[in-house]
Amino acid sequence: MNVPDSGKITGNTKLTGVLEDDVQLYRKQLEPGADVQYNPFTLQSGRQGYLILIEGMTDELRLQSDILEPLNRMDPDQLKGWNEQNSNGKSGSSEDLFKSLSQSKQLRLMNSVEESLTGLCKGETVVLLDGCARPLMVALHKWEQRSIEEPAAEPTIRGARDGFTESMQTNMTLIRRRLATPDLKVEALQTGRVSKTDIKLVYLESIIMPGLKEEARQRISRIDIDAIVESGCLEELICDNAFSVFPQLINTERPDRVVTALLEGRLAIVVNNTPFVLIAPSTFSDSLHAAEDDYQNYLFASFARLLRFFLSLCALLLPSVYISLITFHQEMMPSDLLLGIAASREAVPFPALVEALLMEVTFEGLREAGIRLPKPVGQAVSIVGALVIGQAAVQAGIVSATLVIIVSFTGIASFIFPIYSQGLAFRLLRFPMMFLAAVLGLYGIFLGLLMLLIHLMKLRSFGVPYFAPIMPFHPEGTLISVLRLPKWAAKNRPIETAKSNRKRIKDHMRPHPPATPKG
Amino acid sequence: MSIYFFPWESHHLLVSPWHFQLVLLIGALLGSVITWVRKK
Amino acid sequence: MNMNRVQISKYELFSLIILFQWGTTIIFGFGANAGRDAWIASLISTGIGTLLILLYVLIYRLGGDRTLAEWFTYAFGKWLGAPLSWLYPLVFIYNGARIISDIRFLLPVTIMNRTPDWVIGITFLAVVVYAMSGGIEVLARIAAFTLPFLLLAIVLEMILLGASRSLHYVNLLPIVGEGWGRIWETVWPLGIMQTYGESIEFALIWGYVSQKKGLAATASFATLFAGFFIALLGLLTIAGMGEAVFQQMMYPAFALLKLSKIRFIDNLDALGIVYLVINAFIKLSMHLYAASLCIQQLTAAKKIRPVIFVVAALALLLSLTMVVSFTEHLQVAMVAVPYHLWLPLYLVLPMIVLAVLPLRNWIAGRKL
Repeated sequence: MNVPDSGKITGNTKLTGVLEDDVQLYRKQLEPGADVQYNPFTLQSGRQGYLILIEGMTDELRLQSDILEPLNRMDPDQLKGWNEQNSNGKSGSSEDLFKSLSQSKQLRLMNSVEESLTGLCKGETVVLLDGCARPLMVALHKWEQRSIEEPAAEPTIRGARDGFTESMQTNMTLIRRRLATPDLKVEALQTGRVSKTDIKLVYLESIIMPGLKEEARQRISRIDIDAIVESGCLEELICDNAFSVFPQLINTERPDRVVTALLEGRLAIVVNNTPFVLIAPSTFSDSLHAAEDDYQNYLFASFARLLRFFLSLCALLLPSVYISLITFHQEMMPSDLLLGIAASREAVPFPALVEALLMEVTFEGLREAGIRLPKPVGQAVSIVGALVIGQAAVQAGIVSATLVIIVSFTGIASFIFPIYSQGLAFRLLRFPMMFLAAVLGLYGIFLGLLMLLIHLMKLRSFGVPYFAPIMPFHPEGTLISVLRLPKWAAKNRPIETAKSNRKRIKDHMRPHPPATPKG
Repeated sequence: MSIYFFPWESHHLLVSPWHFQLVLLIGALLGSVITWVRKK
Repeated sequence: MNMNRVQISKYELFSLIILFQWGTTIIFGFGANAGRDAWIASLISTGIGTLLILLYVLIYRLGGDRTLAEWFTYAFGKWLGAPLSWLYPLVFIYNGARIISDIRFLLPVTIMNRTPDWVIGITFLAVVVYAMSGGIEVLARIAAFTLPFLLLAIVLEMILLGASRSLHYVNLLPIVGEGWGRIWETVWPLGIMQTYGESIEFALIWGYVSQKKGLAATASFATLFAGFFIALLGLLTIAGMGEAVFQQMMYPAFALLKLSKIRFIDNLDALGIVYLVINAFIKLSMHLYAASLCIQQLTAAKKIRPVIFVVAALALLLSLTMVVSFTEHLQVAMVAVPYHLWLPLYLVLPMIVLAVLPLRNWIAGRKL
């Protein structure tokens, strides 16, 4: 069953050639069109015409120079030729002449009113001339857009500070500037019946994983939906496993991240009207790699990756381990610690699960609230809120002090994911783990981890196993993904995405001091 | 003394193991009927 | 990109075999009948077990890369072969049920749950079913992923044991003091049949390994590796606790963990639970998946998922009704089952198949 087309343009209304009637045709289709402008003009030869455009989307200065001036300069006979050519249905020299006169970026001759409406809504100008039976469309876009700023969701200490914006053109430029090679190929697609969102697939032809672009193209073309508002909507429609909570495509605001991914044989999907670019395929280790890792010292970057992995486990397991140890396996803790915890839990009336749930839900609530508060207030709420509420709760005897520490550490740990979507997945998963721990103790936690492991082993992103290159095992790949190798040592591209074109750097690139010391 | 009902119960296996083997054989024959029918 | 054909790598097969063979042996300890010479019995069993596995590889290759489900119909024809083939999935289900019973008895005792044992059984089985519906790829990957960690844990445990000064090697002496009889009784039939005879299930998945060559080498190396560790752990257990305790203990491995005590790292029960859960999980999954694969091939079913559910339900049912007391359970495992059940199926029948194969191949060759 097809998507019902809201506002689908059907019909094939041809222009009559009589100017006023043609303008009426447009008015009828667009009515009520408060922001549609109908600008009449008269040429030097006396011929009249109309410019139909939507205000705010057109470069009005260039209208004059690119459309009206060349029209003025043209011979009335040539214009007549334009009309005749149309009634015969053959393309003639008039059209080419007209094109060569005009300096516009894109000039199209449409056949009917309906065909030109989509272009009109996208910001093009319709030119109607008296006596001409075909509308002419000119693309002279100019509109307000955000300037290039530092990406809000992925700030770094070191690295470029330009982030993508909502304009497709700017985004493509940001990528092109970094990869000045004709090997960089761009494919255009369009999705969404009402939104008609432009989507571009960007890749490096000689490196890209074989089969990837065809698969992506096929998945995007099969989408039949009314609108794609953001790349997140697109992501949901083309991922491998629709039910998984883990992100199967990377989304990023940083051009340098996209470029690095392209060089590894991946595919970038740029969606219009959003600064978030998708990268396919994605693996689990991608969510622990920050763009900055590549620019800072490799030793520290390796340490940071291991730290992130450890913290991600904490974010998932810490509350559950606490609950299970307190409730079922008290003998597993060192006795001193046990005494301390027992003392702090003396006044608490709730079982460990309820306590933990209360604090975790409060913390999640604070996080949500913090996002929506205006900037100056937001900072205060998150810090003050967490500390004060935690402290007050402890003093009121609702929760124990140990728990406040655990919850705060878990909260901090859940912030370390460079890819925010993965952090969301882990934040969500710790709640089922808490319930499992409360019901079945340590055994429940192991079962939960096992189920998670099974799910992750089954998961694929565009055919690439989610845990590659650790599982299936490639020694070199595992080394690259767990540690950050220095640039002179990482000789090959990752095997899971760039099987065909592996070598990226010449041998013996390690820097060394000059052979003969000077002075 | 409880009643040991199923032939695969451990008590049976200890006392009279051929019960279980009989059940196995019957199961195998039943299964093979399916195979003979489906794999013509 | 589009890997429709299920494939596992040699390393994945390697880890699958190791974790399968460690199974519950590593918890229950091997060959308590042989007393302090249990480790010798273990080593000998490993050696003979490797030969047994090589036998299975041989039949696989000679039979033209035919899996276990196809051996008997190929060797003996449809009418005799089908019932013989069906015996195997039924036995695999029974073995699976025994593992479920192990879990149901072991966990409440060790991590002191007050959870009813059927809850433990059902939840464990649920995870196993989830894993199986991902196919052999998922099982192999989990085995391959967890093997390094388990190995690390075992090595750490051994180091801690050594450092804790609770090992008294004098407990091992005199070696073979009571003669070879004890050892031999343990090795045959239980020692070989239990772990290595059960490995006949791998004959179903050798077709999935991506590299054709080196199959025998991988399988035998895995077996030797696994057996070596079982023997080593047995050795250490006896050295730590003495022969009498070893023979009486239900879970020597746990006792061993409690022995290794250094300052505040005194309760390593959690580690024991990790071993148990992972190894038992792999073993149970292999049993039930092998049964499902067999049944699927024997009934020409298109999707394996319904078969998996039926197999799992059957195994659960069997397990719940199977055992009344744990001592009976152990007794069955050590005496009745190996002789009456496993010996004919794991050794006698395959040898007959092996004997018949050359003739069969020659007949098939002639018909062409």
